[in-house]
Amino acid sequence: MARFDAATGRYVYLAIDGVEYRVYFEEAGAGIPLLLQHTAGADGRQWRHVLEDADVGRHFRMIAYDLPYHAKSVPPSAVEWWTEEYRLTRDFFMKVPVTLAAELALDRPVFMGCSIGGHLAADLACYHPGVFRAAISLEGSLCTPARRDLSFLHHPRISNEYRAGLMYGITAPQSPEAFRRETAWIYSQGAPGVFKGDLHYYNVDHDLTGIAATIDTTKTPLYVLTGEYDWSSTPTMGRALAAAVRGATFRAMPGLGHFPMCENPARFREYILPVLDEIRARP
Amino acid sequence: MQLADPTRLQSSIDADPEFRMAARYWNATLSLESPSRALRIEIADGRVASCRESAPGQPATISVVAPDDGWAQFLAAVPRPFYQDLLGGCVQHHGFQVAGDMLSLSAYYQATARLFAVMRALRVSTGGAR
Repeated sequence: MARFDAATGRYVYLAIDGVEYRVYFEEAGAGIPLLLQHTAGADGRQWRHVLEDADVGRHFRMIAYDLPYHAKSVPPSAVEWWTEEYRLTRDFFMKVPVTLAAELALDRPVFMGCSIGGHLAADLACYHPGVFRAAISLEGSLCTPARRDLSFLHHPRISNEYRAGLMYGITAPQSPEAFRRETAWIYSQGAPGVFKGDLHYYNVDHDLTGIAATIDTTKTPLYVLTGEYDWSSTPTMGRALAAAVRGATFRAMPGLGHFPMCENPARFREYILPVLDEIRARP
Repeated sequence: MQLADPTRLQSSIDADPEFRMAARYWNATLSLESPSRALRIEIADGRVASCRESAPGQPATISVVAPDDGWAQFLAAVPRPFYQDLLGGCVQHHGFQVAGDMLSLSAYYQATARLFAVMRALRVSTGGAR
């Protein structure tokens, strides 16, 4: 008999700003809805280990989606996307999980995202208070201004190997080599320009400096967790985000990098299971 | 400090299957420099044509400059946080300087990372890495 993975996949149509997007998602488990947002230039495959985790699935209905323009969520056919530079904005990005939750009739889901998804967790808590039961920000921070020229991330003479190599370098050396390579592999498969376009949100459009204090954690509790080896959104930056929000918590994750859920899933669950237990115990 | 024995590094790199795939079609000269010495690696069509000690500051396609302690941390068996990567980690957080043809470095970032991984393994095998 065939051995199946726990996750099943399907498509849902989301209407955002008058455009219809065919969005792919995979789900596993039952219980409290838990939306899972991938990192920039990647896709929902990063959550495959979490989706397989029976200890999470026992209490949570996990939903890992591919953002439009990523992996199986192909660009909308009603837009001449090939005539314009792809650029992810905060406004559009926030609408994706909010619309997805509404279309799937999810009852106050938990939101967990990593990197751009970690930033988004904080933005959702700030700009959509109470819509989400809790927001978990992995590798999130107040802001992450670009530290160097990003033009090589979308350049005709530079292949996807550059993005893969760069992302391999932001994993922790202690993480299992096979999973570090798989993390990089996913980065080698994004469409040209999408990673760089996502970084518009990461580097420019996300900035909670001076605003984070308005997050009401009685409506949406905020949990911030950051890997020790994340040189992009560092533990110091994650701690600063949590410190700016009354009631938010921060935890550093020793021995992990920028992709905790996929570079070292066994280590990651040590940090995330207590957070999910705490969320589950909340009224 | 000596970053690697040039002869052993050349033979190790040329025998490394991942480097050979990542470095295909690459022509470049790399200069890996500490304040007192440099390791000069010439790559021709994806193979190491020569590897030798030289003086710092010589023209190269790509130069990486760091203090001795920076190189020691970078080449440690298990690098401390942010020493695990050149551009994002060492340059942004630990004062490494990279100069030259950034397009070439970006296009061959995987090959460069593999070169450093082999250097790290050599240091471990000779007891030079902490």
